[in-house]
Order: sequence, then C-alpha cells, then structure tokens
Amino acid sequence: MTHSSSALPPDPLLQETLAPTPAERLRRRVAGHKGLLFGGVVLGLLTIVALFAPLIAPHDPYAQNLMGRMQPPVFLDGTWEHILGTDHLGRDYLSRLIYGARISLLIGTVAALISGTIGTILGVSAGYFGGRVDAVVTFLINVRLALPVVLVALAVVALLGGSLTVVICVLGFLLWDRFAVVMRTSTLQVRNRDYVTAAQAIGGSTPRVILSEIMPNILNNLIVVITLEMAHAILLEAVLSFLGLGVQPPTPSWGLMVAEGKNMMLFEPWLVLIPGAVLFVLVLAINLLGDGLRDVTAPEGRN
Amino acid sequence: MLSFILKRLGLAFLVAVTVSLISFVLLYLSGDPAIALAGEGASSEDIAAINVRYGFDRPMVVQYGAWLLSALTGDFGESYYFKMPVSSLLAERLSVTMLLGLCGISFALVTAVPLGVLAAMRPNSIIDRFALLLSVAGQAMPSFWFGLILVVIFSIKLRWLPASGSSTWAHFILPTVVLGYYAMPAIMRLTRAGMLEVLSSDYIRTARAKGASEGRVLFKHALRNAIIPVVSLAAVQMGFMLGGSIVVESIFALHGAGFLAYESISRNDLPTVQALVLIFSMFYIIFTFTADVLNAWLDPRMRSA
Amino acid sequence: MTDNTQNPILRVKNLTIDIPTATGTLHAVRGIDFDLMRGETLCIVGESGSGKSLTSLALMGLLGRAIRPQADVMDFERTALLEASPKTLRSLRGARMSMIFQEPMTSLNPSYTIGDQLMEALLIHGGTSRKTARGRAIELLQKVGITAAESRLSQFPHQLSGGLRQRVMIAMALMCEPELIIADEPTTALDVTIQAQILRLLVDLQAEMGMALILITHDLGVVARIADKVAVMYAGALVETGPTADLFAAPSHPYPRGLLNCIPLPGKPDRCETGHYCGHRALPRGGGLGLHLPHQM
Repeated sequence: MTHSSSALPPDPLLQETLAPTPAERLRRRVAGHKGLLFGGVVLGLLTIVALFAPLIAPHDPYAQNLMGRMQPPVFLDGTWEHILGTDHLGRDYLSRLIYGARISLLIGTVAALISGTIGTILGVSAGYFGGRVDAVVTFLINVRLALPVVLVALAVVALLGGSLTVVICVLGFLLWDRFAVVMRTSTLQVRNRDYVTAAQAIGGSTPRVILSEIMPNILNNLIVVITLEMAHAILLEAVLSFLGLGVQPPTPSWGLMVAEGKNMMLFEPWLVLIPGAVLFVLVLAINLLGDGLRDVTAPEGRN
Repeated sequence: MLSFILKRLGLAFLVAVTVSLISFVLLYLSGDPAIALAGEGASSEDIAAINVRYGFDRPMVVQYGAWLLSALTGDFGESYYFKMPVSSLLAERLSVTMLLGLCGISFALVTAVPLGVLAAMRPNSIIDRFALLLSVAGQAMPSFWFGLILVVIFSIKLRWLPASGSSTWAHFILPTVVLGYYAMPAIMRLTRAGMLEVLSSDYIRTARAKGASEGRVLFKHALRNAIIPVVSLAAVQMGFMLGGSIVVESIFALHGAGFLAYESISRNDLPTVQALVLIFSMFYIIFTFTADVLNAWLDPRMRSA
Repeated sequence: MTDNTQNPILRVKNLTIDIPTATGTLHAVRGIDFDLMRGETLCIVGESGSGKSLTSLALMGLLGRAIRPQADVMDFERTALLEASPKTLRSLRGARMSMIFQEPMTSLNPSYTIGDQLMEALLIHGGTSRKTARGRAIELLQKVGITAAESRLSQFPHQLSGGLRQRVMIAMALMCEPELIIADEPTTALDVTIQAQILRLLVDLQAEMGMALILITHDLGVVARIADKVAVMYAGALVETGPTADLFAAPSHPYPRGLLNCIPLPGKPDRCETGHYCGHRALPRGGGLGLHLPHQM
C-alpha cells in the first residue's frame, strides 16, 4: 500500500514493527513490578530458610536454658551468642524464628492446597455445568461465608485437640470459598469461548474438555488465589496459636511466640515485636507476589 | 423488587437452617458430649445422669429439632460453665460486641472511602501511593500483633489510652482502630476501583459538559454510583468483624460476645459455643440480606426490576 | 447583517493536541484552523481516529488533565478558551456551548431521573427555581418529540430506548439555549430508521433557535444536505476545508476525493474498491495517526 500524496503521514505500519514482542513486554513488566520482585525474593529467601532450618539455625530451638532467660537481642546490648536474644525459657529466639518459618509455610502451603482442591472442583463444576450444580455450589458458598471462620476454627481445633495436622485440615476445609467464587467466575467467562465449543463439538469428553481447555485458561487466576489464601491461612494459624488453641507449645509457631511474649510485653516489647514483624513480612511478601502475578498476567497489564 | 427480596429472603432462610445444623453438629465433634461435660474420670452413673438431664440419649434428629425450636424462642440452654441461661449471657455480652463492630465499621468507612476517592482522583499520585501502602500493610498485618503494638505505644509508653476493659469510651478507641483497620483495605480498594471506573464513564463527561463543578461531579454523579458495591462489601466486612472480635476482645479484655466465645471454647462450654456460632452466622446473614436489599434500592435498574 | 454576526462565534487557529503515551507522543491533532459564524453549520468528516472527537472535546475543555491542547487562537466569542480559568470554562459549558455525545446508552447517569439530569444544567447556570426548570424541561422534551413528557421526568435512563435517550440528550444540551452545539456523531449508535429523525430534529431546532452547530459525522449525504461548511480531517490534520458546495464540486485533496467516490450512485460503477483512501481498516491500530517513537526523533 503506497500513499500517492505527500500530505499523508508516514506509514504507521513501519513503526508498529519497532514495538516490543509480547514476551519481551511480559519480561519488562515483571522486571518493572517492584511488588512482584520484592514478594518473590522475600518468599524465596524465607522458603530457603525454612527448608535448611537445621543448617542455618545457630541453636536448638527447643533447648531451654533457665539461667539465660530473656537475654536481649544484640541491638539492645545483647550478645552475638544469641543474636535475637532468648525467650522466657532461655531458648534462642532466632533459632525459634527460623524453625517457625517451617510451620507457617507448611501450614500455608498445605492448607491452600486442600482448600484449593475443594474450591476449584466446586467452582469449576458450578461454572461449567451451570443450572442445579451452580445453584448448589452457590448455596454452599453462602453457607460457608455465613460461618464465622475464626470462631468455627477455634471451636473445632479445641474439640479435636490442637495438633499441626488438625490445624492444617481445619483451615484447609474452611478457606475454600474464595477459590470457589473465583474459579466459578473464571470458568463462566471461558466456558462459551470458541475453542471450548470446538473441543465439545469434536466429541471431547467432559473431563477432557475441562482439563485441557478450561483449566489452562483459568490457571493464572488459580495461582493468584493460591497465594492470597496461603497468606490467609498463615495469618489464621497465627491467630489460633496466639489464642492458645492452635499449634501447641513447645512448637515454635510465630503466633505462639507473640502470645508467650505478651506477658512480658511491658518490659521486653521486642519479644512481641520480632515474631510479629517476621509474620507481617512473610504475609506481605506473599500478598505482593499474588497482586503482582495478577497485574502481570492480566491481559492488558492493568495500569 | 419484591420478587427479588422474596427470592433473597428464601436463600437467607435456607442458609440459616443449614448453618444451624452445622452449629448443632459441632457439639458432637468431640465424640460424646456427656463425657466432655462430666470430665475425665467420671463414673458411668454420672454420665448416664448427664445423658438423661441434657437429653443426649435421644436420637440426634430429635435433639436437633428440640434445640432449634427452643433456639427460635431464644432459649439456647444452660451454660455448662457459667451455670446460667446462655440467652442471658448473650444479652449481657452482645451489646459490647455490637458497639465495637459499629465503631469498627464506621472507622473503616470514614477512613477508607475518602482515601479511595482521593486515590482515584489522582492515580499514581503521592496520595494514591500512600493509600496503596496503607491497604497493602493492612492486609498483611496480624490484627493481634497490631493491637499489641498499639498497646505498647499508646498505653504503656505514652499512657494516653487504657489497655484493657470496657468502662469508658476511651477503652473503645484502640479496639476500634484494630478492628477497623482489618476491614479498611478491601473497602479502600473497592472504592478506588469503583471511582476509577465511574470517573472514566460517559455520564461523568456529560456532567462536566453541563458545567458541573468538580465537587458536584465527584460526589453527586460519581460517588453515588461507585458506592453501591461498597455497601455490600461493608456489610460482609461487618459480618467478618464480629468474628474478628474474638481476637480484639481477648487482647483488650473487652467483655463482649467475642471474649465469651474465647472463654467458652477454652472451657468446653458447648451450648454457649453453639449459640455463638449460630448468632454470629445469623448476624452475617442479616447484614448481607439488608445490604442486598439496600443495594437494590440504591440502584434504580434493580429497584424497578 | 449586524457587526455582531460578522464576528465568528468560534475561531480556531493551529490547534494541536499531543497525547503522551508509554511508547512516545501521539500527534493526534496537528494544527487545524477553522471559523464558525453564528447560526452556521460546520460538518467535520473523517475516519475513526482522525482526531474529530478530540477536537470537539478540546473545544469544550473536556480532554482531562493528562492532555493539554495548544493553539495560536481558540476563542469562543471573546473568551480565549485555552487561557480561561476552569471556573470561566464551567460557566460556558452547558450554558453557552453544549455537547451531544455519541453514546446515548451510557451518557446518562443511571442513578438519577431524566428530570433531575435535564434540570441540572439550568439549576447550575440559571439560578432559576426548580419549578421553572421543571417547566422548561417539559417544554424541551415536547420539543424533541417525546410524548407524555411530564411522566418521563420521573423515569430513569434504563427505562428509555436508545432513540429516546438521545432525544433526552439533545433536550439536555438545549436547556440553557446555548449559542453553540457540538454534536459528536449523535446518531451512530442508533438504528438506521431513527438516525434520520434525530438529525432532522437537530437541524430544525438549530434553525429555530439560531445556534451554531458543529456536527461530526461519517455520513456525506448528511453533510451535503445540512452543512454550510465542511472540514475533512485525515490523520489529525485538516486536509480540506471550505463551503460545502465547493468540496462536493471539486475536491482538491485525494482523501476527500476518495471519500466522495465511496458514495454509491445508481448507474455508476462502484469506484470505492479501486480507491485506497477508503481502506482505513487496513491501517493498523491507531488508524492513521502518526506515532512518533522517541528514538526516532
């Protein structure tokens, strides 16, 4: 196509070719997203710390030393022997924090997997089959939302006894609502696209259509919800343990450490501040990672 | 509108019945409630006596029916621990929690809505970034930890506010901030997103083309439309907050229903726990139902439907 | 004619609109000039993305914060629109110059009644009572051909069809008896049968009230019938401007020539296919706008 008149502007096609490719644009978006980078790096570091806790921790997190109780951290005139001081039983605070990362990440990951499985099955079936299935799932979501999470979790954990397994299962079976809501909406959006209709038309079985046509297209939403619910589960575990009805002592759960430090808060506020801050940073990192993933994978990259 | 309300009411009723069933079944999670009640080392005669006294020997369906019927009349049985009717316990404690919840949601709305509006007016400005920071921090902040920090700063170091109790209004300030900050991020984000969407809509341009002032455009034309989804969210958050009151009330030793829940769970006081689960759920159902009706009324498209 | 009518109501010299984007500056409108007398009709034609709508929004001062139009002259009567304070602009908008938009379905606020939205402009500018404003609203609704005008006032936009909504939009624009109306493709979103009615209504009202009209359109048939002057825009520039008769008789620029060829005439071969100026769909996104990447400058 040529322009015969000099009054016309230069051909914009030429300039279009100079624009970056989609993959390049995605890479730039990831590199330019500070929240995503921060979240990814912090979560990565804490995961490494959790995995290699026995190698990294300077002391045994359970070893008590009643002679050396509540030694202050090094920045409050403590010693380098116990960098973050010791707790009311003389246990090394840093080592307990490092082992605590294992608890939080384990609970967050497994609870999010359980609730993710339940919620995805419910949400995708509701979105895909519609009709009665959808009505039942919507009803279940409503029932679940009406139940107060903290209260029910506390009651069940108290009745069944607070072990790590119980806490994980209770959270897993309580937190599926957001998965169901998001997966239902995403499936509804994808269900009537041409490629799904095409797969149905050539006789693909229902499980096959769901697994190979629907799931890949809603996976990015699923990943975002997994991160957010992981953060949710970690916070809830901390709440349960803080109230003394979650993971039981002497397990080094961060929420439990805050609860144990609470009594000495008047004189030694760092006992409360340090584990809470670590918990805050972990949850912040996971949330930022989730938000970042949503921004980066959204079709238009958002603003 | 009427058919919408009736449909919504039907759903609310079904959810309420299901929730009541769940809170009833909770009792049996520990196995035999009679053993839990009698305590370890009770003789089999004791247990049999308890079974007869509390009616545990009847079939479960009958027990549920009886429990639900009396719950409907406001009779939730007798508290194992306090040895008094659960209903009078609730009456005593709920007012504190309701007051706290109202203060909390008001605090959240009063901070979140203006901040969301300002952020949407100037995307990527300093105010927008500040609002984002506040909401990101709020979503990651463990509420019990935030409460303790406030106590350290305002009660222990500065000695401005009391750390525990519920006798004066000053006792409610810190709990209100903690509970409100929990609900704030979601409301802020939704207000911002709603305002951004509405502000770029055609009818806002029409209003400007009429010569309407910025204030008129913002509050009369934009906010009126952007606030509709925020109403629903605020109701949902209010429901969640009553659940969240367990944490806040136990930190600040406010003797409300949340603290009662904590006490009765630690003491295995099952009738009280059951009643609280049911009551908290009912509040959530009532709040969301009211919000849906309010929403339908606020939106002319639904009002006339 | 008096002196007053010989002065143009609107004078535009070298209007330029640059839009900053992530990949460079978009020269969306590049130095256009035109004048408009009282009561005159100017039609701006051109394909999508040629800068017509941006030009009209710039005249109304509705481009928003991020886009700053520039011009040597852009005067409405004696007011220099680009230098005027926001307050002065507000006092003009809706009162002395008003605008009718392309999308009647989304241009009315869903939360307020037709009556509230009609009366708003008069209440803002006129300082009249609600009662007077209400009377005027009913009068104008009748004028734009809406039956049962009084009962319409308490209806909400979603209860009206697209054609009715556009009539309401026209009535709304006329509430303060403006001297200038800018109509940005007011009929594109409507059914073909209604398009003609709405245009006729607009033109009749213009004649009756003596307003100047800027009509942005694709439809050369409409242009031939109603325009005093035509401005043809292509890629942000004015490629042809002049009295309607001249343009249709002897277009000097290849783009309007191509446009005219696209009008199907009985008995003539459809020459549109041979002319490449009709093929704006072949152009990539941004339709013919010069996108200048920074590294090219």
